[in-house]
Amino acid sequence: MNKIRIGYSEMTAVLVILIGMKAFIGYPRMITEHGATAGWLLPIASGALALGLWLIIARLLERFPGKPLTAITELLLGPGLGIAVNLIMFCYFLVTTGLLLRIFSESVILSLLPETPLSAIAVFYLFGAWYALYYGVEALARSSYIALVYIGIGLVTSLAALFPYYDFRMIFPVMGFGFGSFLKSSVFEISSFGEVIALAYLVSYFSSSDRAKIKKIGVWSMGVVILLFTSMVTVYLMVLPYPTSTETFVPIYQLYRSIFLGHYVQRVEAVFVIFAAFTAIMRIAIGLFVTLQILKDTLKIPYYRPLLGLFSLLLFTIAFTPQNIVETVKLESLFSMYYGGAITFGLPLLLCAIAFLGGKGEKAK
Amino acid sequence: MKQKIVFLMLLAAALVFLTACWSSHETDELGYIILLGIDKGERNIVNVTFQLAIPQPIEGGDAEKASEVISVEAPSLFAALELADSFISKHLTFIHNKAIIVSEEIAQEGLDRYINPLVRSREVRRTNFLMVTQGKASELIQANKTLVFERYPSRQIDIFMAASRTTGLLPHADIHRFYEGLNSPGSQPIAALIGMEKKSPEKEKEDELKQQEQNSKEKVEQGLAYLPGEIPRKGGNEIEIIGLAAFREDKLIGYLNGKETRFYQLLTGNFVRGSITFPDPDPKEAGSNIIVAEIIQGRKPEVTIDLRQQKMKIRLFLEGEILSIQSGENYEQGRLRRQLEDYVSRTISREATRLIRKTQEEFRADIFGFGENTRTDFLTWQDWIEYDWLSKYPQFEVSVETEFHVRRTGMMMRTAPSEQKEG
Repeated sequence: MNKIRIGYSEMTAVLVILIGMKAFIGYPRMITEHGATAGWLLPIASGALALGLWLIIARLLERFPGKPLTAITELLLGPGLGIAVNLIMFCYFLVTTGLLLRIFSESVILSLLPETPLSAIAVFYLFGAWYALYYGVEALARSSYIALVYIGIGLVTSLAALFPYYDFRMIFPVMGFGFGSFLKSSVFEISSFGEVIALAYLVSYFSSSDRAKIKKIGVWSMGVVILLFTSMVTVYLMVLPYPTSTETFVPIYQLYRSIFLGHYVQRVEAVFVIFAAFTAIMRIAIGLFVTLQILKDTLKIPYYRPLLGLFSLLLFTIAFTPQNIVETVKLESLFSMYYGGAITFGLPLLLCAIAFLGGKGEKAK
Repeated sequence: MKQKIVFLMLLAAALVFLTACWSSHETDELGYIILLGIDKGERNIVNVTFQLAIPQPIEGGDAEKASEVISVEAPSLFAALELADSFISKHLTFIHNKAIIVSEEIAQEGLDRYINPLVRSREVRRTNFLMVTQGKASELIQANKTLVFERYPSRQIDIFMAASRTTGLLPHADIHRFYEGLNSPGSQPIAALIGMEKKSPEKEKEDELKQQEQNSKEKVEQGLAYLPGEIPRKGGNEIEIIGLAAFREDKLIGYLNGKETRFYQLLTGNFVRGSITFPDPDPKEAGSNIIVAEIIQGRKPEVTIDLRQQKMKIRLFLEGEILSIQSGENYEQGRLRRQLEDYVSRTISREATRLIRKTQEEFRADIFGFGENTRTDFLTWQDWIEYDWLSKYPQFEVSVETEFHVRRTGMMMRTAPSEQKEG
């Protein structure tokens, strides 16, 4: 059992950054690719679906009080299959974090440091994440909590500053590619909220009084992320309407660059890029932490710190596996925002089915 | 202690990256492009003109020496940039570019191929103003080197373009809006119009003759109907920014003069304020007296489109302040105020309708973006695309209604009748 405890608000902040960071990279572009003008409604529909699935998964956690999902998986599937399923989840977090590392690094090249080698930027991000994790997850959670306030202020300010470009007509026709396509996209897009499952692996970091609140943390963090995604996509569509919305590599950066409030308030993106870079470091650190936590619990390793160097190297390798940025973005979009739900929600739901139908679990008895 | 050492070591390592040494440039290494001009080339595909800032103290000095204009012919915009590096001891950068000026010839051929690299560029912002000149962009930029009121054209262009909010004689046209107009199935793009003062004696004679032929009422009505280079004036800057260039897809198809641009601004809801001169509402006074009112667009226009009957109704909501009543009639109050409001409303509706018809018949292009209002009539994107608004736009029957209310009357409550009139 861990002695480190993370509070309710801190954990909500960690999850908001873990799930919501997509809004700062490809999410608005990808969602308008799938939903066209209905892109702004997709986060609400898919978010509501994901929320429903989370409530089911939370019931599974309630059946096994104090046990992380790694332990529940092994209990329900047996050690062999349990470890295999846990490793699938581990691989999911590892690969998505690796791809994000590449995308964040490429974004810095695109926006700030065009002549800097990609590897140098990636190493900088990894050092930041490594350092944050070396200091401990408690520090990471508190930093997330503090950072979230500034990220929120920065985001609201930047979106409001784009007001002269708002055109509310651009969020219509309301059904985009049609109801069938909307429904299909809503189901697939639940993947964008898949990281909420990380909460189920971090049970041991809650005090016994806070454990009951796990469900609530998931609901709150997803609620905040739904709001974030919806407002971001709505503004994005109003400023850069479909189909040009599908062209941009880093939508938020393009929005920042469009801020023009007269001669003295323009070219302000540098201010916001600092927030984005800082949040990116946090996101990589949290992603790496969840990855290591799953591995630690699966292989029953007492500490994760000795693995930090090794896994930073692994992340670096994964980041540089795709040939180019287009391939990376495509992979990341498909993996974490479209099909990833099959892993993040699919596997836990399978466990739910086994537990509920088989009447397993401490509370069930 | 150990942790502190690790922390310090990591901090020291981070410093290496934080200096951004790979992407660093000394400020005196860079040549900041502030205006970009694109013409057709004679020896190569394009002739690209750059106006570069020569950084120096703001106070004092000659404006002409504050910038340098160079032109280079190349197969593309970026090739021109590279070529310029071989005869300029600066690395040229677009990061401070303010406006892009394209020649009429280029605009008529199609702007898409020139806009595309600008939109893709990490240096050029979409907030760069986009302008078309009837002559050569290179000559215009060269002529604009002798600035009168500013030292740098970037500031000059910013102030000029802000006039879209204070006079409405030019649109706020930037790359962003052009590109969105180009890609939207519900509107067509526009650009601002820029030109040089024409100083030929023939032109002066022509203007004089034209003015002699017009009576006072026509002069008032046509008061702002100028394209760049046509404003009868002496002094000031070499350039004039007035009117707009209309495009069908990416090709230039015509111009709107200053007066028409105001109505364009009113119809798109982008008119903020501006004073408009009307002939006196009393037909007996119309030939000799005028009324000047500052018009403010109270709220965005209401556009109702009946797709089945192909009818379009636009309602404009305007407020105003009386600036001048030459006839001395008491238009501030009572029946006369209502008469003035009706008169202004009718005049604006008539002119706005005339402008829409021009875009329907002459341009066959919805530069106002009325089609964007039809988005709510469709449930899906495909249905909207299939309706093909842009091809149907010229067939729509249009009516414009204006609601104008006098809100303020300047520093005077009423116009007292003069003794002569009383007698």
